[in-house]
Amino acid sequence: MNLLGAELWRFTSRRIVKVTLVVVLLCMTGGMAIAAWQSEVDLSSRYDSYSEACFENPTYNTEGEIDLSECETIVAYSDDGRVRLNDLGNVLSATGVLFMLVAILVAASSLGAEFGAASLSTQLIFEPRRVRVWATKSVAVAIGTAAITAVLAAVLVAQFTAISAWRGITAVEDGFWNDRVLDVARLIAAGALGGLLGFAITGFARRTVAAVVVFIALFIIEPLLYQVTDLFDARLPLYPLIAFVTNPFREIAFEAEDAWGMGTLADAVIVPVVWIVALLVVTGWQFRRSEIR
Amino acid sequence: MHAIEMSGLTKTYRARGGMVHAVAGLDLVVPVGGVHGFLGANGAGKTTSIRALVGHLRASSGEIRLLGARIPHELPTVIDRVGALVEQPSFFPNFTGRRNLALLAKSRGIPKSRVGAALATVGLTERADSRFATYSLGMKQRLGVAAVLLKDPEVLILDEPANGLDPPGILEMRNLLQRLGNEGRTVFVSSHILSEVQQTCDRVTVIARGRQITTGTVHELLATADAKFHVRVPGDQSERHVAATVLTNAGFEVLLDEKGELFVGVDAAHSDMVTKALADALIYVSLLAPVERSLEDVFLELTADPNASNGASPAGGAS
Ligand SMILES: Nc1ncnc2c1ncn2[C@@H]1O[C@H](COP(=O)(O)OP(=O)(O)O)[C@@H](O)[C@H]1O
Ligand SMILES: [Mg+2]
Repeated sequence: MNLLGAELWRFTSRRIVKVTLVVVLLCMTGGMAIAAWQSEVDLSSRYDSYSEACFENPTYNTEGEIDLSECETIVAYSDDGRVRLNDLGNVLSATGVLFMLVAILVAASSLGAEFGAASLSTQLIFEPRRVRVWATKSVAVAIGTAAITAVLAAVLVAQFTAISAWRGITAVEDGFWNDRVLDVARLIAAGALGGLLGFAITGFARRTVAAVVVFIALFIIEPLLYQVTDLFDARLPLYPLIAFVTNPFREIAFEAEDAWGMGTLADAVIVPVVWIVALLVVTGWQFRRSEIR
Repeated sequence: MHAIEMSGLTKTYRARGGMVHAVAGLDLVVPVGGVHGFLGANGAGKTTSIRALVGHLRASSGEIRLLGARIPHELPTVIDRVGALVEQPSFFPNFTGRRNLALLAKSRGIPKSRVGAALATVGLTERADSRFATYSLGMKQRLGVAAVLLKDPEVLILDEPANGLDPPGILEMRNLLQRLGNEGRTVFVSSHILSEVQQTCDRVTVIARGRQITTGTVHELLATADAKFHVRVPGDQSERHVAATVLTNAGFEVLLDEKGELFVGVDAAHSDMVTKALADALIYVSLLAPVERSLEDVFLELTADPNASNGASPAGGAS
């Protein structure tokens, strides 16, 4: 328990954790401000400018018709830019991918910094049971990234709810909040899994930069592999995790092809979990035997 | 039981140019209590054997015991009684010195009060709340020593702790080590600077090329070297040559160094025989002084590469 407490304390003390949290919160707030501002636009004034520009002072094209390209468009009701609380599920899924990438980055830099500072050598003088150290660190990272995701998701839900109440539309379908609780829980789980994946890959790469390169490579290579062959469908770590966040499985017209070969939400969580467990065992074994500088 | 025991310790690295025998059959016994120096030139294998001792690497063969526990398997059973600083102290650069120590203390359930105490002992209280990255080399070294003190350990293992310290810092470190040794703790301290060790340690073990050369108290080691006296006589160079001849004829071992200074190999109990021999030849001695033998001289003699063509003779020069 002492060790876990120390690891969590170390994790939360890291500057990158604080900076990342603040930057993402600022970006989110900025996005929300823009959404709120667009939600404010008065449709009737748009209609006024439409008629003014197009009907009172019309320009005509060669066929003698009013040139509508000169007009402002009347925005259809369905994309009138108004914030609808009922869209919160989609917003959570889309933003959740960003949260998960943040979790991966934070976890990778957290372990990468320990290799960089060689502080493990000092730490092992205090706790030489390396498997325990490795396991505790990974648990701390999972708890830490889950907590970061929870904070971000909570702020997102609060901001979105506030804005829809202020300038948007708050009507929601039945069972709306139950579903949103499940969404947030899924996001938090994905944050923890992303953190563990970042940790495990940095365990191999030993450096933050190398780990980030691996993730960028996965990002690019995985979809290529899915395209070339279906051999890797539901077998690679990153995109299943993304599918777990975006949850395309609830769509009525869902097909496994839309989710890189995974048929259900359970697939989308099992595949990354298997990867993470395997990577953690291998890196833990490696750490147990390695020479510490 | 001894504090530290190593027998037949070897560590071989596979390097690009072939095998590197960093430690090649090291035997070592460090009794409990006092300051024990671990001497060797750069690359002699000090750090490698210490890293094996604290479980940072696995020896290729041999046996290590720390407070009786077999290393590495039983290390966790004694780790709370052992503090160690291996090579450069490594901490988080963006955390303050205090936070770095507090994290280590927390990981082992050590009371927080010990952090402040350890910082005070090494004289780092004032800068304790600055980031580690802003520390000078000497301050980093002090923080490393403070981390060693956190556990209030019975055995302290310090790899070149005087590295990067300024002269007053070195003096403080020396006093600290002696105080810790006098408190009944075992201080095992490596160094390549012999004058350091001579003034601090009760016992020393000298290693070269990964093997033990000798071990014992500092006095014992100094006594193994032959005593030597510096002799001055009035007059010029030719007088000294005459004196040298007289002493050689009287059966003394005589050295004339490149500056023409005269040295006689004789122990203190018989140094009067030198004056007598010269006085008999009507040469009157103006100076007869024992040449201070430092551990360094002994060390250089002991570790001189046997393959080198001429063994360097440190204090006297050419004979
Ligand atoms: N990781 C390593 N790989 C290859 N050679 C090494 C390694 N570590 C140390 N050595 C070699 O082992 C020898 C002993 O090194 P070291 O124990 O650091 O000596 P000391 O601490 O006495 O200066 C040196 O020749 C060094 O170059
Ligand atoms: Mg060394």
